[in-house]
Amino acid sequence: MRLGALLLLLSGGGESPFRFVDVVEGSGVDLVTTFGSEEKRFIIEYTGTGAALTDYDSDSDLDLYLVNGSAIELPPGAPPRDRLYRNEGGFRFTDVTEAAGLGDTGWGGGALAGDVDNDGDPDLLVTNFGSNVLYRNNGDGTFADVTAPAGLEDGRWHSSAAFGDLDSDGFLDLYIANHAVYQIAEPPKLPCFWKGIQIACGPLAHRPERHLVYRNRGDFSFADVSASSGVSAKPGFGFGVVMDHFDDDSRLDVYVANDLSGNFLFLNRTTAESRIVFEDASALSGAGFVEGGREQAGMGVDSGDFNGDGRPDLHVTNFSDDYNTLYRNDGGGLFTDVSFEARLGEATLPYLGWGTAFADFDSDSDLDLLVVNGHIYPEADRFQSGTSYAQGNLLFENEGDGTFRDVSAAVGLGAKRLGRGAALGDVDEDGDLDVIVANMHALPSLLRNDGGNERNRVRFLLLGAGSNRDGVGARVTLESGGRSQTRTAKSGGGYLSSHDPRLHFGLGEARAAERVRIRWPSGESELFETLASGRTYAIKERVGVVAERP
Amino acid sequence: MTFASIVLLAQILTPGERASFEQAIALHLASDFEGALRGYEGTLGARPDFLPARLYRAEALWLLGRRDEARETLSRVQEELFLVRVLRRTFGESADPLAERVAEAYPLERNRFLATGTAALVLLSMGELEEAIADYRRIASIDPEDATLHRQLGGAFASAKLFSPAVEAFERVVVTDPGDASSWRQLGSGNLVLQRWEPAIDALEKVLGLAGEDAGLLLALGYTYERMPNIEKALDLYRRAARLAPDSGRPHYRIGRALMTQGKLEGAEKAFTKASSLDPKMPEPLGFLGEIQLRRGDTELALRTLESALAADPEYFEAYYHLAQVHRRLGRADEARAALVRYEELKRKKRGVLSQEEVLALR
Repeated sequence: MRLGALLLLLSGGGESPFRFVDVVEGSGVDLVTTFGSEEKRFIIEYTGTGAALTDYDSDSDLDLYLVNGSAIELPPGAPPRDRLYRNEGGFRFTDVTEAAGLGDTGWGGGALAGDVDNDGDPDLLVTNFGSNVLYRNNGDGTFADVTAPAGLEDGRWHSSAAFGDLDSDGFLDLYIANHAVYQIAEPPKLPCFWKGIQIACGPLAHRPERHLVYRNRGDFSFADVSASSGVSAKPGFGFGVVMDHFDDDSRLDVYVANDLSGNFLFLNRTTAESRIVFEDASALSGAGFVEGGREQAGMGVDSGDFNGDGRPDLHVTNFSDDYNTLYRNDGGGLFTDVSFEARLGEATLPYLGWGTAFADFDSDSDLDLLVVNGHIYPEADRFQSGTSYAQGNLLFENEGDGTFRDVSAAVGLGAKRLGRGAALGDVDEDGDLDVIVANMHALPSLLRNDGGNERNRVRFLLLGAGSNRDGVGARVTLESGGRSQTRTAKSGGGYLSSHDPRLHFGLGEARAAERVRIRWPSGESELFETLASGRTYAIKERVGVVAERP
Repeated sequence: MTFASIVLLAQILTPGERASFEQAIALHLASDFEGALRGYEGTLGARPDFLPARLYRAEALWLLGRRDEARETLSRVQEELFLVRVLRRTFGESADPLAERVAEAYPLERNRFLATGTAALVLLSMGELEEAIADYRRIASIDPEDATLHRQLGGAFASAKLFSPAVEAFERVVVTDPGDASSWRQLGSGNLVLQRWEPAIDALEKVLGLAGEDAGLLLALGYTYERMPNIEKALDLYRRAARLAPDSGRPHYRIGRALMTQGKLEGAEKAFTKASSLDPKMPEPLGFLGEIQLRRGDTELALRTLESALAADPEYFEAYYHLAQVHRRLGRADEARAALVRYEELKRKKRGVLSQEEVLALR
C-alpha cells in the first residue's frame, strides 16, 4: 500500500484514490505575487493572476510561467515581474526568466501559450492591465517581445485570453476578454457596500469594457477584427474565456464569463477566410443567464463533456452567496442550467470561485471538476459574513450519472488561500494531472497528484499539419470499456491560465483505447484503433502516430 | 454652546413671535418655502438662538435649492443638538424639564427633533444619507442606551433602505430592551437584507422564542437558512409556515425554491403547482413551473404556464426570459427576440427603482 493511500485510510479521507500534495516548498518556485494593497481599496487590486504550463524549451516536460501583478504604490527597488521556471524534473524548477528574455513588469493578469507562427514551439501572450505583451519563442530557450509589430498594443484592462483558429486558415486567432473601463488616477467616488460594510467598489460602479478579437495574418501580426466580427458591439465585465464547439459544427465558438453583465456565447458564423463573424447567442442559448434571466458574477469558465454525450458543457464560477453554474449542452447551441441537479449548486454557495477545469484527475474515464476559490474582500473576516477571505479549493468527483460529489477534503484541498488562476498538466510526467494554483500575495500552490495514475490512461499530443500546429480546436473522441469520451484541444481556459496542451484520457479498468477518432480543425478526420494504455501518443495530422512514450 | 443656550431654547416666545413662527410653519407645510423662510428669519431676528426656527430655516433653504446655505445652517444646528444631548447626559434629569417645556410649547417639534434628539431624521428627509448616518453615530456614542431614540432611528433608516445603520440602531435597542420582539424582528430583517445570514438567524430565532410562530417569521427564517445554505432546516420552517397559513401560496413557493436547490425538480414542481393553486395571482410559482417544464423539454406546456405567469403579472420580466428560451426551442426566432426585448425593457425598468445602496450592495 502506498503511503498516500495509507494516510487516507487513517484519516478517514473517503474513497478517492488520489490526493493532492502541495510541494511548493523546496521546489525552487519562489514568486510571492504582488497584487495591489493588502487592504484591497480598488477593484483593480482583487482580480489576481494566472499561470501557464508549457514546454517552452521543447524538452518534453512542462515549464511554468507565473504572472505577477503590480501595485498603485510600489516600494522603491525593482518592480514586480513575471517569472519563467524551467522544469528540472521531480517538481524541481529553476528560475530562467532573465536568460529567457522574459520578466514583464506590467500589471499582469493572464498567461496564454500557443504556437502563433506554426513553427513548432509555443509563443506566449501575457495579458495586463495596460498593454499586453506577445513573446515570440526564438526556439533557443529565449523569447522576443513582438507586441508592437504584431499589432497587439492596447491600453485597456485585459483579463483572460484564448487562442483558436476562428477562420480556418490554419493559424491561431485570438480572443481577449476585457474587464472594465478603469483609470487608476480616477477611481469611483461612490461609497460601495457589501453586506452593509463599505468595500472597494465592484464592477457596477464602473463601465464594462469592449472585448477584442484579433485575426492572425500568419506572419506574426494580427488584425483587430473586434468590430467587424460583431464582438465589440456589446461590452461586458469579462474575466474567463474558452473556445469550443458549442453548436457542434466544425468552427470554434467563444464563451466568456462576465462579471454581473451576463455571459457571452458567440457562435462562430465565419464562412470565408479572413472575415471572422460571430452570432451573439448569449441570451437565447440559455447560457448567458440563470433562472429568470439573472446575471451572475462570472469569473472563470471551462468547457468539457461531463455527461459523455459528445457535446461540450460549460462550468462557470461565480461570487459567494451564489452558485457555480453547470450548463448542460443540449445541442444546437442550446443550454440548460443543471447545477443543482448535478449537486454542484448548494455546495458552492459560500465560495467565490475563479479558476475552474474539467479534468479526469483519477483516470476513471470521466471528467471531474476543479474549482479555485478566494474572496476579494478582506472585510469578509471582520464580521459574520457567512464566508471567509481566504478559502479552500474544491474538487468534485464525477459520479458518472450526471451528478458530482464533493471530495475536496478527501483529496487534500483544505488549505485556505486567495486562489485565482489554475493551470493543469502532468508536471512530473507520472501520468496524472497536477495543478498549479496562482495565489494572491503568496506563493503558488504546486499540487502534485499522488495516485491519480493508478488507473489506466492515455494521452495525445496533437500536431496539426493542414490545421494549426497545436491542433487547437481538434475534437478527439475515445471509446473504451463501452464508454465514449470527447475532448477538444484548447489553448486557454479557466481563469487567466493555460494548461498542458496534451489531452489526458482516463481509461479506468480498460487496458487500451479501442477507437480514437480525431476531427482536425481542417476538417480531416482520422481513426486510430487499439492504443495501449499508459502511453503518450504524438499524432500528426495526415501522418498518424509519430512518437509514443510512457 | 453653554447651558444658558439651553435655557434660551426652552424660553417661551412672546405671543406675537409665537404666532409668526407658527404661521411660518403652516406656510412650510403648505410648501410655500419662500414665505416660510421669511417667517423663520423674522423669528430669528428677534430670537437668533431659537433652535426650531433655525432647523426649519435650514430645511426651507434646502427645499428651495439653496443647499450650501442649508448645509451651513444645519451644521450649526446639528452641533447644538449634539451638545444638548451631551448636556442632558451631564446634567441628567435636571435637563429634562427644559425639554419638556419646549415640547409643551412647540408640539410640532416633539417628533421632529426634540423627542428624537437628533437632526438625523431631517437629514434623512433631505437625502443627505451619509450625514444622517454620521449624525446618528455621533448621538449614539453619547446615548447608547436610549432605546426610544435607537428604535425610532432604526425604523427611519430601514424605511430609507439604509440597512447598515438600521441594524446598528436595533442592535442597541435589544441590548437595552432584550424583550422587544419587534426590534429583534427588525434586526433580523435588516441582517437578512444585508445578507448577514448568521446574525439574521440569531435575531429571528429570538423573535420565535419571544413572540411565537407566525408564517411570515418562519418564511424569513427559512429563507435565511436556505441562503446559509441549510436547505433541510429551511424546508422544515417552510413546512411549518404552510401549516400555519394553509391558504397561502408563499410557503409552498419557498418549498419549491428550496427543493430546486437540492435538484429535486419533481418535488419542486408539485410545490409550485400547489402555490399557484392557492394564490393564482402570484407569478413566481408559475415562472418557476414554466422553467422546470422547459428543462424537461415540455416546451408547449412551458409556453402556456409562462403565459399564465404574465397574465398574473404582466411586468414579471423573468417569465419573458424563459418565454424567449421556449420560443427559441420551438424555432420561433421572431417571437424569441420579441420576448427577449420585453425582458430587457422590464428588467431595466425594475432595476431603475432600486436605491443606490441596493444596487451597490449587490457587490
